[in-house]
Amino acid sequence: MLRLKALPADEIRSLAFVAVFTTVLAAGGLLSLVHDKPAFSPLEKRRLAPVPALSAGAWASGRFTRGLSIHYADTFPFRDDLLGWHHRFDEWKGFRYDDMKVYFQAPGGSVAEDDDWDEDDEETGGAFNWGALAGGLVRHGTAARATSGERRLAQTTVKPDPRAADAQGKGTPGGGNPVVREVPPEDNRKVEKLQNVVVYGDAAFYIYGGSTKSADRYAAVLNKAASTLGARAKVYSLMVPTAVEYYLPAKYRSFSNSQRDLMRHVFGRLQSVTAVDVHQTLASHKDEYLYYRTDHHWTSLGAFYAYEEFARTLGYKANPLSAYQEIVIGKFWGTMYAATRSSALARHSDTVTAYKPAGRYTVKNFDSAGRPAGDGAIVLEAAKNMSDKFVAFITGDHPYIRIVNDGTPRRAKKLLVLKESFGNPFVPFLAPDFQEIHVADIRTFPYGLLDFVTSHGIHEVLIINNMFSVCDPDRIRNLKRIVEHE
Amino acid sequence: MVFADLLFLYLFLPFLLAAYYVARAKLRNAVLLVASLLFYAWGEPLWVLLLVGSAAVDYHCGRYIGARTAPAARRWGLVVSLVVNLGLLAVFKYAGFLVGNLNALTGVGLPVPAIVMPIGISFYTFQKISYTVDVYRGRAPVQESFPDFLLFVALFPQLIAGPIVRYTEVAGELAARSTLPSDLEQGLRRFMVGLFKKVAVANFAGHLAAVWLHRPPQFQTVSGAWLGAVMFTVQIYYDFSGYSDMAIGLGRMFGFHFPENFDHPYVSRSVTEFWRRWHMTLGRFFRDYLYIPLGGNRRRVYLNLLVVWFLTGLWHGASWNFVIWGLYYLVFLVLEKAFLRRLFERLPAVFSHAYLLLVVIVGWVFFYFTDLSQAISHLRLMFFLGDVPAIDFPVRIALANNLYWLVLALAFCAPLAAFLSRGLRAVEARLGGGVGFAVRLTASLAGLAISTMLLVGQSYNPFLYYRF
Repeated sequence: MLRLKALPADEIRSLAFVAVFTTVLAAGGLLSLVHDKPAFSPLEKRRLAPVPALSAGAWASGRFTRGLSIHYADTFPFRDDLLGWHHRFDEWKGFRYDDMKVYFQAPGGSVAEDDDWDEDDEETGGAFNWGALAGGLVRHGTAARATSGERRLAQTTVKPDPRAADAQGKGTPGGGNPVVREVPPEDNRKVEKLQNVVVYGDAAFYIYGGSTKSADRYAAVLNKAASTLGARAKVYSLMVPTAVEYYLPAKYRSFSNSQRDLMRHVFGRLQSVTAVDVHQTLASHKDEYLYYRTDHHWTSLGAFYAYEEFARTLGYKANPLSAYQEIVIGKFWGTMYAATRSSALARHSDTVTAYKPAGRYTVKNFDSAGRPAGDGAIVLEAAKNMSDKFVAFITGDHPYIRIVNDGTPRRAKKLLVLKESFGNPFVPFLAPDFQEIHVADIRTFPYGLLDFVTSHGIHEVLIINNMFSVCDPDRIRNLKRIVEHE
Repeated sequence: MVFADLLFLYLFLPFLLAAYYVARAKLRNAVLLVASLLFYAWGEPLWVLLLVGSAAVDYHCGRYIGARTAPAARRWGLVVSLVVNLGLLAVFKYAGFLVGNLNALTGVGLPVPAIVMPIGISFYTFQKISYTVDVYRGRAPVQESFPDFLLFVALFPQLIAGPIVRYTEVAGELAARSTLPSDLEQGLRRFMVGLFKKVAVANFAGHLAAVWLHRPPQFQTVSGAWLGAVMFTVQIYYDFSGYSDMAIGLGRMFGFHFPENFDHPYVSRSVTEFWRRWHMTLGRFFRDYLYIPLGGNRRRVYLNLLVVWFLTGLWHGASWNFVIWGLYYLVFLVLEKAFLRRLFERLPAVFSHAYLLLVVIVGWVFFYFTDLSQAISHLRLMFFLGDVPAIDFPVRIALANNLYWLVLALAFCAPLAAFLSRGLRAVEARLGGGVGFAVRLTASLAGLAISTMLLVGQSYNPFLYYRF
């Protein structure tokens, strides 16, 4: 062993250096082994990678060791704090230009930039493949992740989000089943669809790159729906613009494709489908809180103005906002904050407000096999105590929800709403106006359109999608499946 | 496993250091060998057997050659080793390339194999070749112990991505090495520098490169195209030299002195100089084991150069764009030898420097795009031959959003760190060693902290388009 006294001064200093450094590493390592590993990230709203299952196949293919590395990184001590620092570091790399910071995404199936219909949405051919570099320099590793957009994240499996359940265990209307928001299978991160994000001022939005190619396919599916239903039910199309349409400074308008133009293009192609054009009405209210700053969704106020336009199109007068009970569900920071952790977004939280309709309703939820999944609610006030505030709107993204008006609806009509998450804050406004509302989440709805409309006596079908869905091959596929289902 | 990984950093490394220094000197090679095989098996659970098996072949070849004096017999040993090693490369790295080209040339429709290349094969086959060739030439003693030979081949610091270490360079240290605390300290610091280069510079540069090299045509601009090319230029340097730094640092921690691989290549003033500063161990390998045996500059110099540069390119990847990249440099080397060097010597240094950077950046565009037509269209964009504007807002915003980092990344391509080190030593001379210690420790810990936070983010993809 070393005899300390025999060492010159700088060797002793080296020893001290080594001691401190290795202690830090060892301490980190020990902590990482003994600390309580979280299973879920409330900020990212996903399950953190679990310890992978060990099997001969998993070992031989390398999946096991890769999974272990990811699990280790996912459950590293102080991960959330470290991530916060990671993003701070990212912000310190430069400064904002005209109060803007853009998070560009490397290609890998960005829906915004190309309407890619290939099933295997891999890197564009001809790109430099790190694996080809001598020795597979970074084949399994981090540079591959950096360039191909962190592809590996996706290992989380679908499970109902337990945190969405009522934390206090109080019964939901009807008692019994905890309210669980079933995460649609496609949300299980097949990676693609990376979006460019702009942070402007204290708000963030996704840049829009949708083009006519996919939009034409969307229009075709809508037309098919109308032709399939024929005289049985009237079909309405409501496309929801997103925040980038209204809040990007004029100078930068060219960054983002015009959603208004694309919407008009789709409307121009519709046959026997009635267009509900909400672009102008939202524009006229754009100084109000129509979109969240830290989340990509619209607020219920934005949904209300769209509802007014919908009613106008159907030929009746919408209920005024005052006819609904305003319930503040709570403050939150949403998906855009989770994506960027921008300090600008951290400054002001968003607030979820729900508008509860007067009247008596029976709301039933159903799962993706059509089985009853408990009682629902049009507005779930208990969402105040949940981490996912959006559960307040029709208790979340259930595959199928049936709302029956037990009182006197303003119109004796039965409505079918085909929607994704943007439809949730919209539906509550409709409740007093219809005898029955059947809410179908296009991602998981288990029934076919014609069959459902016929057997339930539906009079009106509303297809409500946000402009990104309009150009999203997956959403169009979802709709197509429902429309063409026997 | 890779170095820029939390599991490696916080579990593998401290545990290995502890095991190594607690173990008796005689057991230390065994500790390293087990650790190296575990390290490799982590990434290649199956092909670790290939590594061990091919090492066994060369081990026996070495002993075979060493035990014989007849030149013909000795040559057999060498031939077997070369055939096996080059054969491994042909199969595991070039099979698809070879078959594809055969199909294209002859019209035969053979199925093109898509074999996933085992990590590090390009490096460890070359290292083994260096052993058998040197034993054949009588320049290296035969390694009689298989575990020690396997350790040479599998030593984890340089196994995955170099530097290419020749047997003669570490034979002595394999047998006997000692480490002082200063070796450990310098090893740790060198490792931290490499890690920082990788996660704080190369990864960000890589992201920007991917964005700006793949901008859809309707959104691309001249400056955007340049931004992509320059970012890739930055990425590949910081990534590769960062890995070499980590490898050298790790070796030092265990008493090995690996050769340097990069010497600030971007300050070069000629392509000739560039290749004496970039991936130096590869250049030296090709010089000593290919160029000189072929005749060097004594006979058929241009043919020899052609062969060497063709293979240098091809070694980087099983695709024609890499060959073109290699031959591209050959053209400049020949031009420089002919008249360019003399021309630039008469001009101020800035001209030759600019020339070199231009050549290098354009070269990396050929390196990046496996599809030659994409490389050419990107170059057209860069040189105002595409129908795109010079600059647009996204580029301005990207530059602004990354400006401080960009300036530093570019600045440190020059030997700025060495300059700062000298400054620190001067300060130390005046104020005593404690100051230097404090600065180095703080810097290293800061580097560790930053690297950790950046690594944590890598399992995190926030930009998914969920719940739409």
